[in-house]
Amino acid sequence: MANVQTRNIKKKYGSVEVLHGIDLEIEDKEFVALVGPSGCGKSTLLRIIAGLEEHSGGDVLIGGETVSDLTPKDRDIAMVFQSYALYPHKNVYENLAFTLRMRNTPKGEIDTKVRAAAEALNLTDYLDRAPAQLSGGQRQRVAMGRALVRKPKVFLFDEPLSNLDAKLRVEMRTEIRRLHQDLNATSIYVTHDQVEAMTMADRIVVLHDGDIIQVGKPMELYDAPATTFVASFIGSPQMNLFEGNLDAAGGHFHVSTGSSIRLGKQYRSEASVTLGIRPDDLELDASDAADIQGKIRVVEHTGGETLVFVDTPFGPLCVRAPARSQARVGDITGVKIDRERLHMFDASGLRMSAGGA
Amino acid sequence: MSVSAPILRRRANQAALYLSVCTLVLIMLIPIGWMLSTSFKPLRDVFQTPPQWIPDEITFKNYVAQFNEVLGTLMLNSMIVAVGAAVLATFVGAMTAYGISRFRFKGGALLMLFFMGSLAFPVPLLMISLYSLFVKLGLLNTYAALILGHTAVTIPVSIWLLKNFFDQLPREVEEAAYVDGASPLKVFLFVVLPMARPALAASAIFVFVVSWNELLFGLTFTSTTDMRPLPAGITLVFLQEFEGAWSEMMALAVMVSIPVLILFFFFQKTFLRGVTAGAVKG
Ligand SMILES: Nc1ncnc2c1ncn2[C@@H]1O[C@H](COP(=O)(O)OP(=O)(O)O)[C@@H](O)[C@H]1O
Ligand SMILES: [Mg+2]
Repeated sequence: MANVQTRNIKKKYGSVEVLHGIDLEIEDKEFVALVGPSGCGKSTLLRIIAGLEEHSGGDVLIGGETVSDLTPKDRDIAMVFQSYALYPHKNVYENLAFTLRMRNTPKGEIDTKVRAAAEALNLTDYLDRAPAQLSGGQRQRVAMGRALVRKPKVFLFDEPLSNLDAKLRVEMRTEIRRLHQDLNATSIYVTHDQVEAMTMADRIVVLHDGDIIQVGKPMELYDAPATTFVASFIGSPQMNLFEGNLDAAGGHFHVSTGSSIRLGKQYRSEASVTLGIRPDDLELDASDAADIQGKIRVVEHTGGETLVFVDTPFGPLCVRAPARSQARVGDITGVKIDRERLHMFDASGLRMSAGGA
Repeated sequence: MSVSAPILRRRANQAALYLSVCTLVLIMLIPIGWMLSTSFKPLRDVFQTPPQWIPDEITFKNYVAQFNEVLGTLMLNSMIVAVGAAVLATFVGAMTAYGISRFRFKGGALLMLFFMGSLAFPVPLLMISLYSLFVKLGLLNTYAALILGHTAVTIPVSIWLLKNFFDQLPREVEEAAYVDGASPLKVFLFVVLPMARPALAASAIFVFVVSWNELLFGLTFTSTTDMRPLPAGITLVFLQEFEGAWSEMMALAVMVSIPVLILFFFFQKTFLRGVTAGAVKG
């Protein structure tokens, strides 16, 4: 069993607190992504779990036992660094073998394990090369190999793909996911890229300014973001967010220009709220049934779909339309809203639930 | 073809720079040139007036005369002492520098200032205290005395050079080694030292050259020819036994410089990389 728990983890650099008490429960064999904008404390948290950084308060548990006093070596973890951190003076074979040598593994066993790891990562032909003679993708695979040559309880990844080009990044996403399944290990994966988090993780932890904002399955975060921050962070293109207020009955949303939308649901009446609608939940609609009228400003064809940006009385709006949409810049168009999928946030940015009259 | 004013100005600056560098190099080369010139002159021509750069009569006798048993002993002594000091100062310097660079503790910066300040100590003063120390330890007239003495005067530079290098070495590689299961000592020996090769080489070359040329400690800490290093040996041999044999002395000086030249010839790139590593970032 290798579940990972953090209890009220705090971290201070000097007088600045960068983690404000992180409570996490990561199940055995789970793949959890820590996601958040740059500087929110993801790496710091991961490094505290690894034992590379001391925490200022709280406790880290692996397999139910506290590891706060253990060195990285004794925590039975492996880590893949963003910079790969390969040993520049050792060839690929020795890079992979180093961890086994440090743990006094018998020679024959080292060779078997190194070759198996190299095989799994298509590195067999490069075992004699120095890291400097490898491409970025190959270096990345060596960094992965160094982690999986030994079977650790927990894999830690710190933005392992961010130095790769887009195509390789997509390939490696599936690759890492596959390795995670083959190895039956617990994985914690740090990334600032919400697409990586959405596609790879069983569960996502959203961090913002040193606090956990929301924890949930990818689609839970997508369908019910807990705050406006999560709403705008998860999903691409971004959710459309409008500021306005609810009428006394809580059934209509008004903006300062005077326009309003019927919500088809009841919220508790709030003076100042944010309405969110995903581009997927909007549809261009020329008929009278349209909810909002606007003028098309930009049309982006991405191939599989078309993104249409419309200026409306509520503000600029992004609509995800089918491929080969006939929308033309300058056209006046109607936009239809899927009322089942509206998101409402109160003045402090917290999600409001509908129904409570 | 017309050249714009800024380009002209830059060229003028460059010309001025080259001119001053050339002048400096020339000034430094004069004694070396004179040493070379004298080493090929017969003794009677050494003080001829007016002085002549190109000797009227070129002789190799001065060189041939040097190949004797004493030279062999002096060379070997110097080699042992210089290599010993280079290894010791560099290794201890590396450990010190790494400790200060990586393990944050109060007083690290102060310690670095202290090392730097110790360079301002007058060497004769240091010599006296080292002498009484070596008397007590029974180390007088041994290689150890010279190795320790030369280490003491060179290690501050070695520490500074290596700390600059470690400061700009990415920590993640060491962290990866910790995660891989290495102890701090193993990280230092198997990961940090191999990565620091250019800086280690720079430090070792520096210490070697200083030790190879050092005269005062060589004179005072040794009392017999079989322990004496080259500079001390040359001085004593020529000033006592063959007083005034200037041309032979210069021939020997030329021969003694050759190992240093060879060292720089093979390692100049490494040396420059090691010395400038801290200066050129990213
Ligand atoms: N060694 C350090 N000293 C001082 N502040 C640091 C240090 N490392 C990180 N920080 C600060 O802690 C915060 C979180 O950093 P980090 O965990 O690296 O963020 P992320 O990985 O999410 O981009 C940042 O504001 C950063 O400036
Ligand atoms: Mg980071």
